[in-house]
Amino acid sequence: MVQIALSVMENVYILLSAISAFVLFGVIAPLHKRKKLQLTLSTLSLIMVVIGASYVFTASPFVSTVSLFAIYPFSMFFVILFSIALILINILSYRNAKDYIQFSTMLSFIGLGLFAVSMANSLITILLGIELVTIPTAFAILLNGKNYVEAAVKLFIMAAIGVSMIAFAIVLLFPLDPQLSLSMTISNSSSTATYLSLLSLLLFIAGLSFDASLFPFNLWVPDVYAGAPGYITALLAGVNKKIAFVALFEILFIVMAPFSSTFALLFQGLAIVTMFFGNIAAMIQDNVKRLFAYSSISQAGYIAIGLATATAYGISASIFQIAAHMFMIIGTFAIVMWLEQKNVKTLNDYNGLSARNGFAALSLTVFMLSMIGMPPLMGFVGKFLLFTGAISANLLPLAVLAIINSFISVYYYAKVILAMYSKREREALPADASVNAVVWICLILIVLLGIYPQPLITITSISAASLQLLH
Amino acid sequence: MMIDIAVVIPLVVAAFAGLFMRDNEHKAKYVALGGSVASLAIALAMLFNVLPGPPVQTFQWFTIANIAFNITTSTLPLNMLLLMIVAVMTPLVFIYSIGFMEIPSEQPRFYFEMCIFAAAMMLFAISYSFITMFIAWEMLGITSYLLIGFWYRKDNAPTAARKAITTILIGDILMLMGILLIGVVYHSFDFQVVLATPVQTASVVALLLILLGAFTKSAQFPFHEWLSDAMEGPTPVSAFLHSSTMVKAGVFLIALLLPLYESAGLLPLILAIGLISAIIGASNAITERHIKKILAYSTIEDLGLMFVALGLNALPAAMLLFFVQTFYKALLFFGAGSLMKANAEEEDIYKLCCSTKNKLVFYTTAIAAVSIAGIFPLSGFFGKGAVESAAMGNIAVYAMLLVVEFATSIYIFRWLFIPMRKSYDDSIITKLSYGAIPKSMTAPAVVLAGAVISASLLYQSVISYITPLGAAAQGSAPISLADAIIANVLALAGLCTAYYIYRLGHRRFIANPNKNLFAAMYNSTIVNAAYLRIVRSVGAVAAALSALDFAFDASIYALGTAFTKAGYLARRMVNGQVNSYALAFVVGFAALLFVVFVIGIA
Repeated sequence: MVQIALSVMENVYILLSAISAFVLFGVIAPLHKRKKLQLTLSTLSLIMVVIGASYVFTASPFVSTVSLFAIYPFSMFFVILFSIALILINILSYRNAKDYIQFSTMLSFIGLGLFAVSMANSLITILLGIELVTIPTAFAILLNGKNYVEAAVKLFIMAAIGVSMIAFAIVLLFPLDPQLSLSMTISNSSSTATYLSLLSLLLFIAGLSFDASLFPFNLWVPDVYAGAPGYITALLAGVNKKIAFVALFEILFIVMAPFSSTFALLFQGLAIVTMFFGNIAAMIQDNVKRLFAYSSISQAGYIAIGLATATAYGISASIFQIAAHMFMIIGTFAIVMWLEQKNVKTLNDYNGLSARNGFAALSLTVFMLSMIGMPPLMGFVGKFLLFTGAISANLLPLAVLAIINSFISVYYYAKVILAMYSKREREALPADASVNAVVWICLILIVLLGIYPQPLITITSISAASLQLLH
Repeated sequence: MMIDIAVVIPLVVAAFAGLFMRDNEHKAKYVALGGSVASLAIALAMLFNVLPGPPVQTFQWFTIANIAFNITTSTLPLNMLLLMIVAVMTPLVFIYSIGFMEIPSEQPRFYFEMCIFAAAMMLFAISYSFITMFIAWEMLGITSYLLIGFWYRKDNAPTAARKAITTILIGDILMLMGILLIGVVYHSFDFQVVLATPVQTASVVALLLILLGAFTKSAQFPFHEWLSDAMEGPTPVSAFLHSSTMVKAGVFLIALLLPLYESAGLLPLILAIGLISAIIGASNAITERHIKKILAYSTIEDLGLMFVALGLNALPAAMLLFFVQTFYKALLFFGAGSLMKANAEEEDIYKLCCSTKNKLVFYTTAIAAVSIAGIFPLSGFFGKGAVESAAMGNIAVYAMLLVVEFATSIYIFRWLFIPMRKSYDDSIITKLSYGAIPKSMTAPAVVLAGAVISASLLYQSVISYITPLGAAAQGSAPISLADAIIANVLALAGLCTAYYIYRLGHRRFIANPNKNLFAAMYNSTIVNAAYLRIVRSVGAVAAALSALDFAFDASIYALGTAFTKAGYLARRMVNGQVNSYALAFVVGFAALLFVVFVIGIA
């Protein structure tokens, strides 16, 4: 075998140039307006990002290139994960976006924001990254025409509130470290400093809970998820929500580490109310897209359990569940979007789907079983790790409530499955190649990493452990 | 990595490839046959150590709370013995099925289930950890359920399949409990770790649970009745299930773990259950009339004898019987299937006739019958002789084994002689189709007849191959001359008795059979009645529970209503107004401030 020996720095340059290439291709796309070319270029550059990042991940270096960026296992894991998600969204939007070229430009900004937050070494980078993710998403919704103005405006206004709260939070920390580096030390010495830091912590939690869709900062979620076109809903649920969790990990466990007992307690409460809100509201939904919007809210509640444990094991469980839910929800919304175009929207429309398109019904069933937490699927492993993490952190009540929530969720998932497999003869639905490609990738990942999760568990625990190194 | 797992892959690939051959359904059998031959080739490569790697290979699946869930495989002699048995029998059964299974539309399903069944048994054969073993064990249970209920349109097939799966699942649950207990006690599921650790009190319970699981799978008393009902499946399935797969799994597992059972002091239990099952099997076989059920009871008896040998801590003797039983039992089933096919699917031995018309079928079946009766020099003699010789130290056990030996000889020759009679009823004779038995059904029988004869030549080499297994070096399996003479005389006496009564027609012995004696011997109905009573008493408990359930239901319903109400409340919150969402934002932040600064959790 030929070994290509590259130094760590060279690999970092490859990674950064691949990211730049992805952004550049997105920006110049409106100049040539060639859809196929843009799809190829952006997918290839994202694959380069994945390759570059995994080289640096396995080398496990700890390079702080500019003070704004840090390259360590945690950041590289999320760069890889988000690149894969972006590839999926890219394929999904190719045929389904009203204007793929312009969406592609927006997607490149979103990608830049995602990578910036993942690799952030400074609070300013996080702020810019979050803004780069949310604002272009609102514009991307707007690109689809007048019908989508309401969702876009709602997202924009709520994003503005969220981002401003993060900005206030950062301002409060300015006196402690003018560089606003993540490795700043929060002193508990004077009471005023503690007071300001705590206020900053709460502003961060509130501001990021908006994107992470934690109750009660998430009331916009069902409207926008249901009002946006399906591929953007997949983006919102699969990517935007996850990046808020990444930012929360970085801020809470690096900057705010001294207050871990405080925010752990807050996240216990947020996790419980979010799980119950999502699951109970989903029970009465008739519109399937809205149902999955609420279901993804409840999944955010499960992910928040890892934050509530405030242990390395809990963080790695959360990271695992983030990856699991990303693939489940992107696959789900891919199918939901495709069915929406065929005017199949409500539970009643879903009746007899298995006879109309067996693959869609089967894969949607697998995704839902995974969300319920059925072995041997990826969702089971994620939930298992989260619940055992909560129990080992002496949060048995939280684990019990989470398990009760899992049972509640069976109700509405089963409703959809039963509808799909009930007998009603109707005309067949022709499949869509790009939707099927995305669904296949998600399916394979969910089944494979459900049966053999050990590699991903190892990677997530390395990532979680590296988070504490940055301080 | 585990290269040993490769032996399973061709069969699994063939299974799925055949399943998707909608257009050429009749070709599924060749795909399955090809897969089984490829698996045999890989198994041979493993036998002759062509494949790289150490004998025991471990692949870490995942680790939870310091307990490693490993997929471990091994090519140690004991594992290879079973693997070779399965690998050799699979192509033979598949060839036999080509002639047997004529309906094209059923073929893809049949070969899919058979391939997975064989693959599960091969995985079981090479498994060397409880995890791997249990995966294969469950696959065996599910595929056997599907295969027993294969003719699901027949009246009895679904019932029989349900009975089998119920019994087996009871065993599986006990087994799973035992395995989990093993994990808690030993912090490992690997056989080499468990075998190397001294037995503790908790592990005795675990071993007992696993033993019960093995008894259900190997159809030992009191879990034996499912096996005779399992005859509802197609004959190739019976031949496969009784000779090499499924029922052998329980015996094999106990044989692997025998050192543990020895130190746990559970050997007398194994011995007792084995003896009871052997006697029940033999007595039912003498009185049964169904051509395949006689063989089923005979299998229960054979497995009982193997457990007797294990109970006497005579592993080589048990494994020798394990080895030779494969060939004669499969051959008997092949013969039964051919006879039934020639007699328009008649199953009652008293209604079958003229079995000598097809010489090839008759002589191969006769060879198998002589072998199972334990007559020198066929291979059955060596297997049974080894077990009996091991029991010679215990005169009571030995005496019972001799009775079983005599009974075996009677029932098997009864089974052979009664269908030989000629019929003078033209309506029956015109239905006979001995000429129409295809070559694909006779050819594997000839091969097996050869194996039955030549397996006696392998007697010493099989024993010496098993013995090096480190954990159980009990030496050889000697056959004492005295036992050889006594057993052969008894077997020949049985042959003469059967000839006198059933062939020459001196039926005055059984003209007025003693009803009580008959009932005692044909106790299948009694056991089934006992099963029914147990089920009914469970039903009574269930009825009592259902009263409780009503109250439970009502409270669940109330809870459900409450949740739905809460759902509407949640929906009212999401009212589409951005300003109210912003208000919620503010309220949420205020709540955070309140919790931290007023209640003061910081």
